[in-house]
Amino acid sequence: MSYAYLFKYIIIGDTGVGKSCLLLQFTDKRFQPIHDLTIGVEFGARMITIQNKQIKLQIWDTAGQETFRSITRSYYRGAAGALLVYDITRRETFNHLTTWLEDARQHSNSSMVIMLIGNKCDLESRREVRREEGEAFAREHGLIFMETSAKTAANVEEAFINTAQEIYDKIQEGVFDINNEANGIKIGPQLSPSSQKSSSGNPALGTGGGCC
Amino acid sequence: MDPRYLEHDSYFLFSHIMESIESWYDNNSIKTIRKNEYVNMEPFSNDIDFNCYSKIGIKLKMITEQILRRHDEKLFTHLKELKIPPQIYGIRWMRLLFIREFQMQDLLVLWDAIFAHDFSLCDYIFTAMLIVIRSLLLPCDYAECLNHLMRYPSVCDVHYVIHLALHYRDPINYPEPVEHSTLVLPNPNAIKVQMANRLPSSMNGVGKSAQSYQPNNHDHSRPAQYSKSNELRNVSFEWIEDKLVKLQGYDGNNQSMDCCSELRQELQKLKYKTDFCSRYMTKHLEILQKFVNQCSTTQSNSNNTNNQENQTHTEQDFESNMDNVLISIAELKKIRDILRGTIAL
Repeated sequence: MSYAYLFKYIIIGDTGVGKSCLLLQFTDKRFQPIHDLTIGVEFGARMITIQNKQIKLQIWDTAGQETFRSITRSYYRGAAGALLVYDITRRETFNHLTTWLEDARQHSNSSMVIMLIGNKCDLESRREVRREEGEAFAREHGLIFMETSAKTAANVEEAFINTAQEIYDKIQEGVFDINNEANGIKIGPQLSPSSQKSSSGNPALGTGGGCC
Repeated sequence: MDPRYLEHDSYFLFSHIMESIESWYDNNSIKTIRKNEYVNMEPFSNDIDFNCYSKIGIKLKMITEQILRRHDEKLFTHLKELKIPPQIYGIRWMRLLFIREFQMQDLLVLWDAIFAHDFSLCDYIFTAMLIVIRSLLLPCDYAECLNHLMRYPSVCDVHYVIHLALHYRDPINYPEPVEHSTLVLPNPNAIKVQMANRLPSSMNGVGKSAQSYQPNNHDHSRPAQYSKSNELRNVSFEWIEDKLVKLQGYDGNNQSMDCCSELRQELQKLKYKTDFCSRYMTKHLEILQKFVNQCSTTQSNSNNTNNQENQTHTEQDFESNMDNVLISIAELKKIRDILRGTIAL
């Protein structure tokens, strides 16, 4: 099983916004209306393709409850991407975004890509946060933004893949130090010389064999 | 129990449980630990720069470093090398008293055992749960291991887990259980996730995983010993026959002649039984193997097409194949009993 890169993600946000459901929809392509409360963390993995390259995503889904905050904080570091999720039908989950963002920025590496996600967009009738508000918040803080529905699977793939695309672009630009594993990126075990051409031509890349 | 006081009784029982395990819920960090002793709670990187962690974190570290390491050094090292600290999966296992890891009917038996002894048994149940699935974990990489640990496989015999835990805690009064089935079925969700992680073309990987699902690794705790006895069995029939011929020629009296022919008859029966069992086992192992292969191909197909209709179709296939797997397991259990001599051929 070969892959060019391995990216590590973290999913954060208030309790009940649908973090675990987003992960389940992305990895298993199914939706569970009644989901057990996440205790500590959950884990999921999936392979995706970006510009004809296999990318393996390892995703840590954290518990939203305040009591787990000390555990989840330890997962920030070493993540290349973060999905910051709120629930468009609950205003307070949007209001807490600043706290989450501060937390993430404080505990993560500076180049981590953050995607803001307004989840449950299938529940239009109960909407409390307008799409424009989400967009404005994202613009203000330099995040990518999307509205998703873990129930209908709308934009779920895109959310994970666009984040990966952004990370991939940053690698190409040389923003990420890919030899430092603490940045949440690993080089795949079988990166052939031909596929290395585009990745800023670092001949030492192939040696960073990963565990997975 | 008086139904009028159901709520009161429940509250009473709940508070008693929580009195015992309150500290497992304590999230306050303890900062008095020396720097080189901290738990690796950061699965992403090695250089941890915080030296504080919770009581449950320390407890899990103790369980793996003391109990697990003592009973299964290989598994302990494997998880350590993969950098999977017990806190990732263990906090949930312990805090919820294994409620998400077992089916309800098994859980009641498990809880009975915990309440009948005391909550320290949980440390040993934790260890037993890891050792029972060791053959699943050992060939797995980081992501696959985490899948099995976060989506715990269905252990066919919860009694085995309990007896193993009791044995680890008190080996003098509780002998090591041997008579129980240690068959472990990976959680179907874990298989799906695992297959989704593989590239459609990676047939090597599929073969590897299929092998690890074959339930013929019956006794997980002693694989080495088992293969040894298998080798012995291969030579033993010819060896016995040879000896019998020699014995017959050596002493010509009638009694020993009768004895030899009786032994030879027994040997023939035994040969037949072994042959029958091995053919029967092969058949059912093939069914299981086919199922695992099918899982991987349907998964890669659905990966390619992403078709909703196709998806439900594969779901149904998966369910019906699951039934076949359960039947095969029942058949394999029957063979085990035939070999053990508890039922007739």
